Amino acid sequence: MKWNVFVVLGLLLTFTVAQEKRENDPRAVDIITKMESKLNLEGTDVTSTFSLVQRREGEADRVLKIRVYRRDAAKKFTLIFQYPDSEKGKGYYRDGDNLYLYLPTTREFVFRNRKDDVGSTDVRTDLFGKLDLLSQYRVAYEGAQQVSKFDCNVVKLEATALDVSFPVQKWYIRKADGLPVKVENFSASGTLLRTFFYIDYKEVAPGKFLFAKFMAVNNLEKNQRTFLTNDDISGAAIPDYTFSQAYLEEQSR
Amino acid sequence: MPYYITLAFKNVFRDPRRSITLGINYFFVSMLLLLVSAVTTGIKENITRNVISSTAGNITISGETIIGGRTYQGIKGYRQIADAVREQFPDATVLARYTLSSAVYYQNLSKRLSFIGIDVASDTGLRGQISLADGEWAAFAATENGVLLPRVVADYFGLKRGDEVLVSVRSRFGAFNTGTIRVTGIYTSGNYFLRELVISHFGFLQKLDLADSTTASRMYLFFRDPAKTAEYRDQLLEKIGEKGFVTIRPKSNNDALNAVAAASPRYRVQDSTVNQVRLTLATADEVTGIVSQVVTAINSGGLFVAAIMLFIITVSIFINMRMIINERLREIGTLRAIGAERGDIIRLFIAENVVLSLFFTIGGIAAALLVTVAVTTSVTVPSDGVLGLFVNRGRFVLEPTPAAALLITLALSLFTLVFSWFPARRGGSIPPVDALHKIA
Repeated sequence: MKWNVFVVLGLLLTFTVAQEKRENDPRAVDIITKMESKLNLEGTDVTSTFSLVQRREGEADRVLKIRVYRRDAAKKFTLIFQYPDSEKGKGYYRDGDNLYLYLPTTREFVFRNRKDDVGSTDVRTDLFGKLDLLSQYRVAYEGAQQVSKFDCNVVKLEATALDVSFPVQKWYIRKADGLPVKVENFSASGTLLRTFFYIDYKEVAPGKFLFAKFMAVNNLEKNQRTFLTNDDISGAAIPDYTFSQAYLEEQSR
Repeated sequence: MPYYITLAFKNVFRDPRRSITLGINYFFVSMLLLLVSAVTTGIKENITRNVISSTAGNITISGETIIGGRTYQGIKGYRQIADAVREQFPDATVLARYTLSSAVYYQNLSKRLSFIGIDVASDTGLRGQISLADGEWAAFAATENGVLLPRVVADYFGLKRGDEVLVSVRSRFGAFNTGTIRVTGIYTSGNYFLRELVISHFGFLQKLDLADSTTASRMYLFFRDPAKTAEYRDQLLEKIGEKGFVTIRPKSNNDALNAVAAASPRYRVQDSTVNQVRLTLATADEVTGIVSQVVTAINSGGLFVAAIMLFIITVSIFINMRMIINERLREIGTLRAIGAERGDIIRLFIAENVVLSLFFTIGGIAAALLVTVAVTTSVTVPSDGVLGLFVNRGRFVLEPTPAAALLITLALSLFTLVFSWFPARRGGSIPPVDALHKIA
């Protein structure tokens, strides 16, 4: 009888600990919330031009230039490829969770979910939109670590649903300003797939930041990296029409 | 037998040079047409056979699962569908397979490969399609993450039996997953559609794709009487529909092919209240429909060339007969003088041309058969090369049929009959006195 009570209590304790582990860590929630408040640009429209350079061992560099129109308040963005000529006119339009890829050659919109590799690089389309990590992941604080010369808080994210790109992530967030410097992205089985480095930021509105330099490292493909720079950043209002499929179609002509 | 047939037969050999000049056209037209027919029949039969024995069934069920308006690839509840099929057709063979595309990484090399996951206990069809150059089927069956690699893939990575390789897949939900596969065998296959297909375990791929145990990618149905497949499909659309699945008949052959083989199926935006499993039931004829289009194009090309040659034959017939009639005025006059009717003279000339066309057409068909035998027995082509689609186990598949040979013979005879009639009329219409008078 005594043993049975211990077994039941033990099971209950294990279950409670497990449940606690599955809860969000308040400290991690606080770090993520503060970070998102700086990276999500709800108060303003943002226009910029991204230049992507994909570097692969033994191959010539691949360069893409993309014009980005972003309206985080409405969870929308429009991406239009400007370079190279072979990609010109191609684009993405995101409205909430729905992402549409426009193919000018066939003049059709292909529905995607919110994730897609931009021009077959290691950069995902979700990099360009509003972050909403706490609705997709369970977060846990994993202590402090130094990345390069920066003291960082480390927050581990585990997906609550599998419709995210990377089921496990580790965000290294700078203590000094609450902005991320590194993100490690893992597969569902825990293999490190890609590492993102946020190298530099630009303040586009008071307290609101957009990365100006970024690097994605493919951890499975040796020496495959994608460099991203963000130029011509503007906080001017963008016409509503820009966030429509018709606009993408019009720009490809 | 009317006398003019015997006479026509003899006349064919009267001027061998002239007969050969005209007959050679029949020879090449009939040879060309039979070869084109043999090639197109072979292509269609070969592709259909290879597709059905590797990546499709008499009916292939593919589909998507919509949960809360979001669409995911694959068929959830495949066992219920299998039960419904067996309920309707107890003799049918039902196979569920899991397919996915995955990036494979090994010693600084990477390549995106197609995987097909089979239940090794019940799905043995592929076993007869491959030849294991290294390894054993039993070892593959016993290893959960075991795979059989095509020789070309193994050579690309420098892999050998026992090697372990990292694979990364973007799962059906969008999240990346990784796993390790173990090479348990390296195979070669004469089936073009298996040339780069990695054979794996159903359960392993299901887990790698983060799918639950009730989900399969596709189902293949095989019937004892494949000729009735279209009829069976109609019954299954209804039967499976009764079980709560949304069943769809492909609108076109392209739809069928996309449903069965598209690497990135295209989805529509769904309302968030939509929860359903949508199934497309495609017949083998629909899946290989694109082949019919190719076959039609090849046939059209062959017919175009044949039409040009037939035009040459027509002109030759007209010129030849004009010359023959002028040369044979004495004969025509004599025949008419001893009682031959106008129609007999016309029939004589027509019969002469038809007999000539029959000789050379049969010769052309015989030559086409010889070429077919020579090509199918002596020419070997690698199955994984650019011509792989047209070969089976390294040999070209040419299938001349008796029906095609008979049709070509009849068509050319009829053609000759029609186009000989016009000049022959002239020969028949010459009065006997005129014919005899003009000789002098």
